Amino acid sequence: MTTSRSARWFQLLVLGSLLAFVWLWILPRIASTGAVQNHLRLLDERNINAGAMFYTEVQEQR
Amino acid sequence: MSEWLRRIFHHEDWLIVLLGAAVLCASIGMVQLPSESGSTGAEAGKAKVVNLVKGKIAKLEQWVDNPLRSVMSEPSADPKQKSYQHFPALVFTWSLLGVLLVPLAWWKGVRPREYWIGVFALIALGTLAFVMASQKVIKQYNYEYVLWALLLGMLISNTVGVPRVIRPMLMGDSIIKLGLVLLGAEVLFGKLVALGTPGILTSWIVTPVVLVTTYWFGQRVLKMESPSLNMVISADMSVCGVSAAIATGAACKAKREEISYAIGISLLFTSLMMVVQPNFVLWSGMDKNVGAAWMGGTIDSTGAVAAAGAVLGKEAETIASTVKMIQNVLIGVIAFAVAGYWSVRFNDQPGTQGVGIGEIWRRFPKFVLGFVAASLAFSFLLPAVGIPASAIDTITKDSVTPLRSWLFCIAFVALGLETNFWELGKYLKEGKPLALYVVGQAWSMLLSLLMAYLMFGVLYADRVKEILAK
Repeated sequence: MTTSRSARWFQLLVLGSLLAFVWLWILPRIASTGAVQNHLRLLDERNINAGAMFYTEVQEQR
Repeated sequence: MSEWLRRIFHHEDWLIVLLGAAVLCASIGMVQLPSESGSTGAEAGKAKVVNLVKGKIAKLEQWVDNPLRSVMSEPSADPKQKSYQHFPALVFTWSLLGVLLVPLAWWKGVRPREYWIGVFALIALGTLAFVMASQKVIKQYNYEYVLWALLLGMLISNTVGVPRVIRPMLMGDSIIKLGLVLLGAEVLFGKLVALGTPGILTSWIVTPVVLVTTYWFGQRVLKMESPSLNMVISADMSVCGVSAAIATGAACKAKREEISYAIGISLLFTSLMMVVQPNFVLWSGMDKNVGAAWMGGTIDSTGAVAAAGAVLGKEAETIASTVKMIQNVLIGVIAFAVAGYWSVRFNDQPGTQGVGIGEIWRRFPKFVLGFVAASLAFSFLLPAVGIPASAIDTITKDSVTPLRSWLFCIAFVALGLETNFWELGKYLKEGKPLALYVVGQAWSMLLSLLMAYLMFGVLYADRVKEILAK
């Protein structure tokens, strides 16, 4: 089954808009909830990079 | 130019090793050591190592609701503090990446037009992936940039498709190998002594045992079709998550879909474990030092370990992070062992029977030698020639680490642009890779808990407390 060129661009637009909605609307609202804010504050205070892939990216080891 | 380069470097890996060595030498050259003769007394005590590259390679800021905050600072009352202060670092980083990809593009015979458009696309999508990963909630749950780089690439390739002009620059495998040679410089064997014997025993006994037994389980019990997928999942689950998946995936020549799947499953379970495990430790009343060592040995990803340890307190965070760091160092040995095992065990050329030294050498992924050489040079050679630990520290953390992150990011954009979503779906349907991960992780948790209890709760409990008190 082949999809037309315009349909494929439409898919990209829809999925791209969905990502933008999650990042610009949903995630900021999650960040403003009490429990998440507390945890974010703890990480900020301890200077922890929770997204670190290797130990050299973790502040604790600097 | 392409033919000339190919005549010199018969195997692309040698070009990558040379390129990685050039980057590492340049990083060393950019560090100014305090002069011994120029200063005396108190002045000499204050003299610091200066890294001219520090802050020049862009690191995006965390943001909550405005993605522009990742590249622009808040407006400040201080006129010297420009809101666009990160832009020069971004331009420098993009230019550096563009320059680093030139030799690889030459070797592959990429035309100038394809190079410029391809580099622009990779860097633009890579920067967007970093912006997505810098969102605070996303970062909190350890969804690393490689996931978003893959996702953005797959989003394009599985909808509108990849324009033909970009395809020659989709050299994700080569860029990953270059990133891995740089990663070698971050694998410092001196870090092993950080927690002494208990740290080494917890990380270095359990990890290889779990890796080997999980791989055996996948081959013999689950009868997985792809040994390389089995190895990548076993390694990312038992060693250190995404970085181990990338290193072993390159060492055993795993398919890009296999590496992508292993990374996805690891990040998913990491985000669960980093919430559940510290709360389980608190709920069960387990000794926090034992719980921290347990988390350091089992949670895949390094940042997630630090975040989970922080829930238990400052000392627990130190233990968890240090156990994980010691485990991180194991990545060099594991990648070398996997590359060696694959060279002996698996034949990529039908009809070739013998596995003599020459054949093993032919099959061996040469970039692994660059990876190991970088690790040995930064662990032993540089200290031996008098380069102080503080200089090695700034070279790795302020020059090599940020550049390696950018390389991995654009490499995973390229892999995503080459990945068919339905190929990934095949692994989801099979269920065996998921079963392998779950069984392996359960086994790892059991063994790690036993070892953490023995080392941090019984045999070396007092010694650990002494180390932490210093």
